[in-house]
Amino acid sequence: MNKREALIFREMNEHLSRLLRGDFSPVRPISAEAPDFQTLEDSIARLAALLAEAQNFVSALCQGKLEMDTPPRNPLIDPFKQMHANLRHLTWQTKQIAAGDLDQHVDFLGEFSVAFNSMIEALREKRLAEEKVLYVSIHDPLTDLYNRGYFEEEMARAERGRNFPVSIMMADLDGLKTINDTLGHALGDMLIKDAANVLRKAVRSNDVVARLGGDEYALILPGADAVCAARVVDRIREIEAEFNREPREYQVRFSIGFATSGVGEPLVETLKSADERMYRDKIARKAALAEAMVRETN
Amino acid sequence: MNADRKYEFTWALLGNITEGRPNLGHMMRLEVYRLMQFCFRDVMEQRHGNEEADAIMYQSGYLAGTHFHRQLIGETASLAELVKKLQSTLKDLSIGILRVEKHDEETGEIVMTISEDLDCSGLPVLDYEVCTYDEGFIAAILESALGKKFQVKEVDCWCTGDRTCRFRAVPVVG
Repeated sequence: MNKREALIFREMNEHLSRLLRGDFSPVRPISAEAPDFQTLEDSIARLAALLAEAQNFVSALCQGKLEMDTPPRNPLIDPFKQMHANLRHLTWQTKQIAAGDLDQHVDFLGEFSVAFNSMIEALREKRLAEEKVLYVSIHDPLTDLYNRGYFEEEMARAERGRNFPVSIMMADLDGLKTINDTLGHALGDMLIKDAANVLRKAVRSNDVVARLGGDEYALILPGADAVCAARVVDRIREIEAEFNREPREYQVRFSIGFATSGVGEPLVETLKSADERMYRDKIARKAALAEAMVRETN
Repeated sequence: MNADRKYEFTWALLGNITEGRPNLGHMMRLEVYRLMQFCFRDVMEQRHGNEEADAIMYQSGYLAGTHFHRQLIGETASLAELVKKLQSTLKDLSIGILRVEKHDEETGEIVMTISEDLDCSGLPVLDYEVCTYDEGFIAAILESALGKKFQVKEVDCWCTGDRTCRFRAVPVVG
């Protein structure tokens, strides 16, 4: 090695030492003085550039700057780019979870995946428990119809809404006390459930059917005028008759009353009117039954 | 159907594989698929030049993506649902492992990656992206599912030294 070559090697060695110390400043060009070393110089310059790029990328990654773009064509940072991709996907998955999607599953981050998936599972269980509590809080346990609390909430919602006219219907089950007293409460409960099914079958999916308690049911029919509500009564009567054609120890028989409310009319008053009409229907049905029995006796 | 066309694509052209290959079945070696794909590409490049070959690959991917969506994905109510269906379908068919990195609600930009990609994973580093077919495929699926046109560009690829292919999909304005 001559003196000039030794000098160039020392220079190159200094460049590499600087790189090892973390100094990625550009290499001082020496190939003009020594064209034979052009390739080596280019390689060192490229290495310095890749290392500088890698340092910036890894630093940004450590600071959690996931929005940065990954430097292309830099094999020194391949595993970090993979980690960057994983973290970006994980970020997207977390956003999905925050939006309510609990079907996300992580399978690319070792022990973290296990912990993360356990967290999602716990959230799923929590959601199920909350849904169960919510369900129980708004449903009647015997019939699975809505309960009085939910009915009142829905009535208030309907009053604030825009889907007028709204019809409110009261349906009172005839003869429940007699069934309970003569055939027992188990059969009485079956009657309550069957009656609920009759009502459920007669309405649209957006109507609200509730059991207010005992033998008392109530319906909210949004967007239904008096003609529509009368049609619902007809459907109830048809389904009731069909049910009663089967021989059983009891029959489903409703006394029904409804009233319709326009915009601005308080639904509490509508409910009151429906209730009054239901009682009138009950009296009329009782009278008709008594008359039929007298006729039968004679 | 155009009378001059011999093989206008329909899903039926894929045939009844169960009946046709009772012994060999649906599977074959990936090399065979790549052999066909890269030989097609080679000849297209020779005859039409690189740019036109890329355009043909993109358009072919787009056609495939449209049919793929119609036959195997179907309607989805949101991007999240689409991603979920697409992830499981691509994995079931051993096409690749899809992940979404970004969805910008304002601009509509979507960045997704495909690892172990059918077309390129394991190829030599060539210093340029090769998944042009995938670009068109993804563009068609996004368009079919989300109802707007997308321009999809591969920004990282196994062939540029990355371990995963990254695609940036940008809605086409106007």
